[in-house]
Amino acid sequence: MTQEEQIVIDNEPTPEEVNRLTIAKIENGFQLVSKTVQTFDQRYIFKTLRDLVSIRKQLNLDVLQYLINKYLDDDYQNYLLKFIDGKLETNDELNQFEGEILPEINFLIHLLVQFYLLDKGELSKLDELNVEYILKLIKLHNRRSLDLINAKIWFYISRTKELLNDLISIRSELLLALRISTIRHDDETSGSLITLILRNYILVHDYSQASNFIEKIELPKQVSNSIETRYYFYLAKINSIQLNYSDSHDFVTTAIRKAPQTTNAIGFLTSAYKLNVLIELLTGDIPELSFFQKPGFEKVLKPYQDITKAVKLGDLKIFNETLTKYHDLLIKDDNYSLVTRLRSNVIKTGIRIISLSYTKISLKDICIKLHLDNESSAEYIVSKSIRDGVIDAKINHQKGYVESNEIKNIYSTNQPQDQFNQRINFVNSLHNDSIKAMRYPPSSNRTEISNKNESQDDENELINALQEDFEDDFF
Amino acid sequence: MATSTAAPYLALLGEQDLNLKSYALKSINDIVDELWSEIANNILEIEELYEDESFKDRKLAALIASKVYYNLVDYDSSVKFALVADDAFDINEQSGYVETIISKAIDQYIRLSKEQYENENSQVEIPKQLQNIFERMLNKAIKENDLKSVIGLSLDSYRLDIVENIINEQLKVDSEENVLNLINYTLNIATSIISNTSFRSKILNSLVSIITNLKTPDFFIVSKIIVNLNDDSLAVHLFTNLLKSEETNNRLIAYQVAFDLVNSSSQELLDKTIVKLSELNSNESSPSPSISKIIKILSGIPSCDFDITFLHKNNNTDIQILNKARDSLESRNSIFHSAITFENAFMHAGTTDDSFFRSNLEWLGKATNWSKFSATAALGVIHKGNLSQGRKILQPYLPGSSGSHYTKGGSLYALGLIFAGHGRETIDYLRNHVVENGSSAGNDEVDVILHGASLGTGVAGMGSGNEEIYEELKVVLYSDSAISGEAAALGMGLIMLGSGNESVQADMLSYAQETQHENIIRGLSTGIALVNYGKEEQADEVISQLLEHQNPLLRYGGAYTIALAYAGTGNNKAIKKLLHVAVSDSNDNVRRASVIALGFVLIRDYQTVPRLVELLSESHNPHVRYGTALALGISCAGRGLQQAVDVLMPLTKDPVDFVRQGALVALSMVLIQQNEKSNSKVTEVKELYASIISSKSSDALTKFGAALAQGIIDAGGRNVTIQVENGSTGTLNTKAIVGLAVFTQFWYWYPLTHFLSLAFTPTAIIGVREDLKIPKFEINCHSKKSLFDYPPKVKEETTQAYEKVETAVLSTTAKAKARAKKSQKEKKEDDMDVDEKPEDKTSKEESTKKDEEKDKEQQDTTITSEDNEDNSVSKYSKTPFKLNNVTRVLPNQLKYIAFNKDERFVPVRKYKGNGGVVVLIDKSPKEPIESIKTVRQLNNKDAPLPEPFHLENTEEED
Repeated sequence: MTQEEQIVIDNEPTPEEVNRLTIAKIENGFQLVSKTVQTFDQRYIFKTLRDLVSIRKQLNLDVLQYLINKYLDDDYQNYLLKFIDGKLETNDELNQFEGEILPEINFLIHLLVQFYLLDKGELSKLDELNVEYILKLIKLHNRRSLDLINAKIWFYISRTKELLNDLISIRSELLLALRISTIRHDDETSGSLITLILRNYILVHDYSQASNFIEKIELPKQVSNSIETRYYFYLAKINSIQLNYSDSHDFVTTAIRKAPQTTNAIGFLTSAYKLNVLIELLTGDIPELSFFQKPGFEKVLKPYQDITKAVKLGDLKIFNETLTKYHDLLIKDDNYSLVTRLRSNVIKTGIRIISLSYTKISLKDICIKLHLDNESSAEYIVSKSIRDGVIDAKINHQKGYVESNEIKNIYSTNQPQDQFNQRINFVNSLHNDSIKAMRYPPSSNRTEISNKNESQDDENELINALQEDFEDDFF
Repeated sequence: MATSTAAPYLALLGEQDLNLKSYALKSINDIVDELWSEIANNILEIEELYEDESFKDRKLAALIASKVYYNLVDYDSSVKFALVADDAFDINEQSGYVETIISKAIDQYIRLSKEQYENENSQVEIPKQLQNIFERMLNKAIKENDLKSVIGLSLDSYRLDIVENIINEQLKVDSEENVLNLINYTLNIATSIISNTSFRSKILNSLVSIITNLKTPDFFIVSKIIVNLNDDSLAVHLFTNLLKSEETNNRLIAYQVAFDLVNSSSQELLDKTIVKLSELNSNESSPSPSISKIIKILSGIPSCDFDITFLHKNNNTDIQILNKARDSLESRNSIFHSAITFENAFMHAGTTDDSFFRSNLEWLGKATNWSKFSATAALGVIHKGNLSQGRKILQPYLPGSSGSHYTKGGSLYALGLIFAGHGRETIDYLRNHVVENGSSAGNDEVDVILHGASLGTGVAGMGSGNEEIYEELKVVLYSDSAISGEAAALGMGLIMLGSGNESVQADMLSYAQETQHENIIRGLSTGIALVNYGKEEQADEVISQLLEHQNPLLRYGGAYTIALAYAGTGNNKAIKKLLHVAVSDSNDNVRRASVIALGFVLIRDYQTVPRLVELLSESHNPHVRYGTALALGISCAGRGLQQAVDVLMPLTKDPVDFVRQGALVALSMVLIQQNEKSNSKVTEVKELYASIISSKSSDALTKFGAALAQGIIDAGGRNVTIQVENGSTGTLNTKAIVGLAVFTQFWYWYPLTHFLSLAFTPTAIIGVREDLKIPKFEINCHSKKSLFDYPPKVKEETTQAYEKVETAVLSTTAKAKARAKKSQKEKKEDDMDVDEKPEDKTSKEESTKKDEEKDKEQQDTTITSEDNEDNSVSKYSKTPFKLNNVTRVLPNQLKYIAFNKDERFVPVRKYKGNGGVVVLIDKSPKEPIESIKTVRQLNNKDAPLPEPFHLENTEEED
């Protein structure tokens, strides 16, 4: 394949050649799919779906038309061709595919049509296709091998609705489908649906429903990485809104860790990083400067860097300025409400800096430093910080000053142990996850059996292919 | 547009006004599918509403709770609330929710009713609603005419009443043939799936009463049930019923049933039936000739006679293999001598051909002590089933002759083997020896004779349940001599086979704990296993008693008890227990036994065994590996299963000698009667045997295994297989399983190897007329002949070649020869050098022969190449080839056999691929017909007795 591609690039390929190549790739995928059906090894379909991502850019009318004409029955041909404005080819030369058409291949072609319509921006058409045909089609079949494909198809159905801003109408369908896939143990589909439902709730800011929902469901264990990553991100988002910052922080770091570190997922990573910054700030931590200087992210993270700066300085004035400056952008990121919560953190940081610098300071001075209106509000804020454990100090109410307690040796506290424990837990769970993700090849004792060699090669090829850098269609 | 929150309705639930609450519930019911996650927060409130008995919409509350739990994936609670929701829960609704709840409800019903049925004292109460749903679903299915699933479900849930109802209802509306189909289906489920023995017999009894009330009852189904129930009065009832009418057809059916019973039922059942039938006959003024004939058939004499006639007539032994093995194995060594004895015995099992002994008197003379015992007993295997002549043939060796006590003991054992399972004629003779010598056990000579007599009695009286014999054997046991005691213990087990008799078990178990002799304990523990044959859960108590015992020999017995009690059931509990013991017991013997036992339990699910034991076959413990091999050999015996061969092949190269032995033996059991077409490994395996036997470097145990395996794979003149399941009735072949179980004891005691002969079943179709004569006629076989041929015989060079091989060859000359050979090969000359090793030559010749055959086939047909890969489909050919009556028909071949309806002889039972004896209707009985004479008939008239050979003379010469 690589060789072919080389040649193609050299010779400035004609559109026909590109098409032929695309079709060949897709048909190759179809073969892998039939292999899954025979061997019940989901990995083949998984590979096909990943290949389709790269094919997506080359998808055009001719390719689809060819595939639909070749592989599908009249029933499907008619409406699919109508949607893509393709022609029915009755030409005898076009050899109709022999043998039974697997539902898997049928579904894949539907998925390709979804790609095509989505990329062309024909949203209303796509929506019609989804609602009128695909939803019914999915209900018709009950096959485990469709699990992975269904997960994708649901994703695009929901995505279409989202782009059309019609989120509520699809919700009940999603919930119903989730029920059915849970009963059938279609883990990938359930996982996908769970993330879609969460996204649905979040986009309409229905956080209470979302949190109700996550309390009662459990993400299946065997789902692909991308779904798990999204799931954790949404969990982080919901938890942060619900004031569970520490949980939220765990979730968002898991999400970042699990997300693919490639350009394909840059959008996802950016949102995750943004959320991460805010959550860290809300928990009272200040992210490292290097965090904002990740290559490729400097620009998008700039507003957040400014906010961080304001919090770090504990300067309400700068904070308010930054807030007004980036107001629109933060709303767009759907992070504005979180940022506004930072105001108290700014003050707390200010107090902390003060308590670090002065062993004893009058409330009045605090007022001036923090730009507060009067002494009583300063007193209130300081006492709250003491209660929250931000600073370790005493207020002398009669004389109106704050006295910091001496800083103890941190190694005499439990803190290092806690940190250590946290890290060990993290490393252990990483280790366990890696072990669980391993596949053990069947006994090597009987490799002598001749016809096994072929499948062995296949297996190796597949494993190699899957080990290549993880790509997925994040956006 | 969907509502985005249920909060307002949930708030209404807290109101005092009942109407408001009802309204809230109704609204919630509409949105519960979408907002369940929110509603779940208030589930307690909803449950409370249900519990409030004064509330009118409490059922609706239950329904909502059920739906919420369903969405929360808590199906148990969901079912619970759906049930109490009663009519609010709409069974006919088309939704995932209703479907799921119903299927879960049915599962639950089945579980509960099983619990209820199994412990009668249990307090399990099945909720009315659950039963309601179950019955409503069944009624729905009945309306859709999906009767088989209804029957399956009702049997699963122990609802015999529903099954009876269905069958009775169907009788009114449907043809009897269709109803019989249903009955047959029920019977199949009852015998193969239902694990509760008491419920099974309940089903069978009810089926019998249904069938006998039919206008045209199917007596063959009844005969199956008789075998399963082991009910002699039912058998008598059936026969008298059949013979009441004067119709020939019914009489013939009765004969066929009788033959089937002989083939598949226990000796106890046959004995009792015979007694009752003869009573009937003697009460009547004129004894009915048909009843006498049935008595005769039930005695087993005709069946044995037919079998032996078949084996004698079609004897196709490859004596070369045997001769070569004899020459390669030094007979002075007793293990090798025994090996050849067994190989010979198996190869000629049932053929009555003892020429090998006669032509090798010198070799025979080298037998000493116990190998002499085995050698004499081998005669019993060779003449197995020769009921009429057996005693005469053995006369020269039986006690009273001048032979050594080893021959005497061996001959008694042989006599038992000849009459295995049909011991009526000879049991008293054998018993006498037990009784006579019983008191003087402990004396060396007497012990050997008693050993033979006890084993012989046990085999001959197998499954007869005769208390007197049992007591007599117990006397021998109690004299506490290791040699006779072990045999007596086994004999007791065999006599009481499958009785599950509690006092017997108590006797045996308590003595096993008393005695100091390991042999006796082992004999007793195997004996206990035999007593519990087929007892399933009734044996659980003794199994746990044995398995938890501190004495490993008794734990060993525990493993075997599971093996036999649960033989062929595939019971999960049993398998679990065995696997646990197999990997955790501290004693190697126990672990080995429990792996072997897996083979017995999974006889019916033999395809799963290779996968199950694959990992065990790589165990670090050689005993477990050995057990794996035998388990495969037992469960896949005669099936030629490729996966089993794949697991066994690596074991033949195991570093431990006895594992290799087990693998070789197991391979031969799996590949018995296979040819190159049905399993491509056969030739390779046979060559492996030959090379192991002839190689100088192999160790004794492996060679013993190879010799034994050669005997098994070509057993009975290649006309027998190991058949653990009766094809026609679907019941287990008790004799074969017992034979296999005792055979596996050869690990400790070689003479027990002979027990494998019990497992050999002739593969033949024998058509007989009403007068029990075998007419000559032809049967069609819709397949290609080559598929079921004998494997080609080994062609052997003359002894000259041997002498050349045995001369010492210098390494230089060897090299030179090798070079010469190489150049020769390059020239591709056809003539071979005389110096070449004989194996090379034979294998080459074979391969050229094979090539020729292949060429021939390619000319004949076009699809030969696909033949090997793809069976079943391409094997069928429309143009049949003809087979004579009484010919070898392999089990796989049976499905291609057809009787021509227009011919003179047609089977009385609609032919459905059954082997064995087939009773024929003669359409023109007046016409003369040439018939085949049976061995018995031949012997009665003119055949002289075979000359006895004299062991002693040759011995004296030494």
